[in-house]
Amino acid sequence: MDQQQGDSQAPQQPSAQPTTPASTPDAATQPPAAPATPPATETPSPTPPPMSSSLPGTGTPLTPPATEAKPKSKGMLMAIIIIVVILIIAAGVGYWYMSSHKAQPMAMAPQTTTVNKVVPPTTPTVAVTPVTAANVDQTLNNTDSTVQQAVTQANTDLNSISNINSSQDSTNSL
Amino acid sequence: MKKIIYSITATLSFLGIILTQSALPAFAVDTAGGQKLINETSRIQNQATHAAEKQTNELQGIISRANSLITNRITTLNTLSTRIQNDNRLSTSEKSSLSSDIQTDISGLTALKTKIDADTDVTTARADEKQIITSYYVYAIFEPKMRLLITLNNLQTVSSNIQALVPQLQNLINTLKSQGGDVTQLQTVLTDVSTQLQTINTTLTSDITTVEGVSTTSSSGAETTFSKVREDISQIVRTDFAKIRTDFSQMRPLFKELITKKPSGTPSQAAPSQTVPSTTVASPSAAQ
Repeated sequence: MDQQQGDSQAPQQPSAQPTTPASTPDAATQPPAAPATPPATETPSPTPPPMSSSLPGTGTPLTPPATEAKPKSKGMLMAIIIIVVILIIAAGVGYWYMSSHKAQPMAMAPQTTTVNKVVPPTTPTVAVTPVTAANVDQTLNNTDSTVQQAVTQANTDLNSISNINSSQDSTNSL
Repeated sequence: MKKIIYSITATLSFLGIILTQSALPAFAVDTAGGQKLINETSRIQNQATHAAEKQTNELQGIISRANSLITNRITTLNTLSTRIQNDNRLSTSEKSSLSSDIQTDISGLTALKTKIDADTDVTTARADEKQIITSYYVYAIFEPKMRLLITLNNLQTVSSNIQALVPQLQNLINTLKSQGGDVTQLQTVLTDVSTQLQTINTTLTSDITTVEGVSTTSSSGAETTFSKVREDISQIVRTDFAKIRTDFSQMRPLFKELITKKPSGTPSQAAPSQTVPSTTVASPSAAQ
């Protein structure tokens, strides 16, 4: 806002700008040590406020000269660039996240209850050594024993199933 | 005139007295009536106290009974879990699947116990207690289902082991045949083994699917399914595997005979010491 005012006022005071250099120092406002410093060093310094305030017909104070606004705008520019870069990075990350986690079809799918998927009985890997004339008798004997054990176990299991007292799940007594 | 006024006044006074007398009992608070009211109130209070005590006792009874029901079921499930873990015929995936089902029930029952313990009214506690049974049917469905699946999977493993043996035996028969041996009888027996295995596998696969489909939250139909599967298992065990065992018992001497008495006269691998050349080749008719 102030800058806008300053910009609009700058053309109205053409005489004020050229007088800003140190060639017209205000002796009354300068400290005693001021003359010791060379005039060349004072050139980049901003226009002293008393000078602007003493100008007749100017109700508003003079805006800082362009030399002062330069570092500010540079900083602002840097800040804007950084913000823009951050925004671009954030947008990129957001886009990547959205594209990688695109679960829309799943979200629209009907909700299904989680059921423990019963794994289909896989065929166990059987390590059968090659049956030769030398080991065929032993192999058949071992297999027969295995079958017998399994049959015995199956009978035991069937008996244990028969012995389950399912009446414990009756709700009549509750 | 005065007389009339007096008589009217007297009549009105009389009527007023009568009305007052008749209305008083309604508003009267005599000491006997008050005591009655106090007694009645006290009686109602006592009744309420007794009812509250009774409800509290009933609630405690339900909670205690529910805890017992849950403990028994969890014990059964843990026993079942141990049985599965110790089974060396079940594959890792079968163990994992069955154990997972058991753990789901244990977790559910434990959560239900926590809820019942915190119940404050009889109606809710009673409803939760029923859930111990109706949501799990541990004894009526879950345990039989698990045990049947264990048995079916075990039998399937045995069947697969024999199935893997069949081609090996076939190779040996082919070898012996190529050496001039009469393998007709052996081949017949081995074919019978394959037939029995096919029947066994078909039945087991079908039964496993059926049992897995039984819901543990509804008791309807489960009993029939289990009964049928148990009959199938009995059939497999008593008939099909029995036949296979008989086939094995027939195969062993046949193999021995063919190996020890090779027509080519070469010593057999099984009995290197028996170098007697087979001069008497069994005729096909004799082999059969």
